Amino acid sequence: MTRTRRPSPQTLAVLAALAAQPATWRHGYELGQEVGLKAGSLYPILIRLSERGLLDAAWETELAAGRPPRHLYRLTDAGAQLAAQYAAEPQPAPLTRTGNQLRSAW
Amino acid sequence: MTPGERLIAAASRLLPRAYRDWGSAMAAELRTIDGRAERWRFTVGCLRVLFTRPAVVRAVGYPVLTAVTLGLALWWSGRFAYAPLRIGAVAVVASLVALGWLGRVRGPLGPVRSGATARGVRTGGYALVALWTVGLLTAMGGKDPVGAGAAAPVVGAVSVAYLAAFLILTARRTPERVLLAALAGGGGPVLLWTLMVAVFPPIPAGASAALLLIGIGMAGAAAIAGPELRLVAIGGAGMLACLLLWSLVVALSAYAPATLIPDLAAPALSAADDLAQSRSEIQDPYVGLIVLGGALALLPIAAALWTAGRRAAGTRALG
Repeated sequence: MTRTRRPSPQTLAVLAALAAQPATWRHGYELGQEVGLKAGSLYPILIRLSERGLLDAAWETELAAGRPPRHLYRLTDAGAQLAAQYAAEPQPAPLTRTGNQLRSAW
Repeated sequence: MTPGERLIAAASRLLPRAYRDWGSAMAAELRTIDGRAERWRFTVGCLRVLFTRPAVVRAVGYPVLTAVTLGLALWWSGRFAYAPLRIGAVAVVASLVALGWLGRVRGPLGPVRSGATARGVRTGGYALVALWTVGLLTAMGGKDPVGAGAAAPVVGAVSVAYLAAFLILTARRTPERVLLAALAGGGGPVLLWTLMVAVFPPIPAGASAALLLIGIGMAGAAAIAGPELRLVAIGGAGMLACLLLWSLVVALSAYAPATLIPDLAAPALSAADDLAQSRSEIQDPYVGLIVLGGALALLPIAAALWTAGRRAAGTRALG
């Protein structure tokens, strides 16, 4: 795997949240709530991670009554490896949730 | 289905098939969210994501751009009272727009090669050809509407040749070396000519020096390009040099200091009239460049068509 540049703090937050429970499939909305990202910021991150082979996405098979299946996400081995790599590095700055920073992330 | 889900589903349909799951995922997630305000916030966020995907921007952006361009062409042509000129002007713009669409599909004209150079040259080509076409028809229509109406098909054909050459040069199918050779062979003569005018003013009253430099540039492009699609590089370099030099002469004739303008007017005029007249007349010796460039643009077109024909024959033979 080649790393060209450090991911944005928002991407690192998503990676860290997914890496915290590597075997667990997560829903998009609750993941966004956990890392403090709205849909407009979260989904581009998920799409990009998926395109780079860092994220597995699948549809729910165990359905709750009256609810359509939802998309589930978890890190691939490569994603978990990348998350571990960045977790071991010193953090540049804490993630703050200002609008400008969220916009500049993508 | 809630209105939010409907909106997300509609936007998802603009995505390529491989991405539509993401739209469905957003719509499914939306159904689990409590609270009307939160649901709308989530919907707006999802729509922002979907409408800013490059594939959606392209799918929506090009038709919008086409409609806006044709609308502007109708508005611009309204200045011409002479109906054949009005129709001709709109037809010229429509031909360029149609060619632009061909530049998006796989073939000799497109799609555009990835990278800033090809995209920059293609964008610059669109801008130059549009400026030249609109500027020329506007100027001709102001002086002689009947003549301009008769000339509109010729102007259209030359503009189409120029734009087609730009599209071929920057298409994915054209090797990058050919594009770079055409850029060097086309830009080099313009830089040298500009340097010559700056060091030895004024602007030459004839186009011989420009033609000589264009010839040298084309030979240089042939040497740089290598054997594959050499004609595309030669014609591209010549076309580019002619268009840029002509544009430069027009710009200099209007905005350059008086020291760069040769005295081409009758001696009886006042100094101011003399300068104004000379500014107008200095363009005349260079007008032929635009026709020469249009003719040279036919070289890349012929080479691309010939290559496409050979490819098709090869595919048929394999099949």
